[in-house]
Amino acid sequence: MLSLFVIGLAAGGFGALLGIGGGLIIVPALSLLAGLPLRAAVGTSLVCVCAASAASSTVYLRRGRVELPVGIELQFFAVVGAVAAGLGAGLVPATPLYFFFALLLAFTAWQMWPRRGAGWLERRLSRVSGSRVNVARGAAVGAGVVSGMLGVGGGILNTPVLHLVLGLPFQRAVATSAYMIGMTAAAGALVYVARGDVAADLVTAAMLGTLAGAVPAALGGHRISARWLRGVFSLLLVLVAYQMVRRGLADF
Amino acid sequence: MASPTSDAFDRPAVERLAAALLAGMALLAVLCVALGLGAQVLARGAMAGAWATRFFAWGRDAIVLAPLVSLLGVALRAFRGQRRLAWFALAALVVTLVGMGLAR
Repeated sequence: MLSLFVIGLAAGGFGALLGIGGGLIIVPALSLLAGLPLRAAVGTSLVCVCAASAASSTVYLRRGRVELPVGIELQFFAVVGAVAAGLGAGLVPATPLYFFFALLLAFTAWQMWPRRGAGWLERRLSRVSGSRVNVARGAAVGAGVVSGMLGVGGGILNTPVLHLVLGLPFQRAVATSAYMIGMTAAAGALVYVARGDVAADLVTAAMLGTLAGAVPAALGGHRISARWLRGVFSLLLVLVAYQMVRRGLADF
Repeated sequence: MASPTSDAFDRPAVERLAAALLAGMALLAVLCVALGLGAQVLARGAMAGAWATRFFAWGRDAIVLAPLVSLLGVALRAFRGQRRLAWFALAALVVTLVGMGLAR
């Protein structure tokens, strides 16, 4: 129980700081360290993402950092992409997609890496400011497709779309993404809860840990430099890209 | 899409409502967990265990429903002055629930 609480605490803190769900941290930790079966780990992780989103978004919304209209509109497009991916699963060969998305994530990591001037993508997008919104909508659909096909959380893609494509300051992008991932995670968590994969006794400790970790991170996150957070985010993207290459090679 | 800096509607009120709904559901979840722990500590036997599990399950359900309740609240509140946002919120909610149904 204590290990579940500590895992939740760490995931809640990181999730709130970076606007990600934390599934990348929670699922391996729950299955490898706490010994949960994978389905239970994924279901528990989704409940924790809901908790992290609820706790951090409350703080971010009260401080006016969430771009609610932008987040809700992009969320709509992302969910459409995720549903389409779910319906189309099996129609498209997955192996080339793993490599394609790994490349995409590696490119995004390169663009997110902190540097003095604007990155290549930011410079290109600054010339086409009128169509940024459409680019963001398309990217949100793509993020939903990636999320639906590969089971990665939306946050790992929402934050770069909001920051690089729409030009939101990094910490606003994080806050908006934190609100958006709650909806995505809730849909997934409800499925796992309805199937009986999420034991209430087990999830309680992780959920409390997540709530306890997310609130201080959301309250104090603005004190951490955006450059440092961008660097950590880039490394996380590289890690996900590596996982996708591994999956692609395993399916090959 | 509204521009990132758009303040065309009563943003603070909608944001306060969204935050209040999220915080309310999170507090409800914590309260359920506290009641579950209370049942475990104060009562003895299988009946207490069953009640504790029930409270923990309610807490889990409250936190899972929190984002959806918040989105529904935003949708209903935004119908007063920001119909575009309201429709997008409702559409996101419907597509999320449809996606959930398909996943099952």
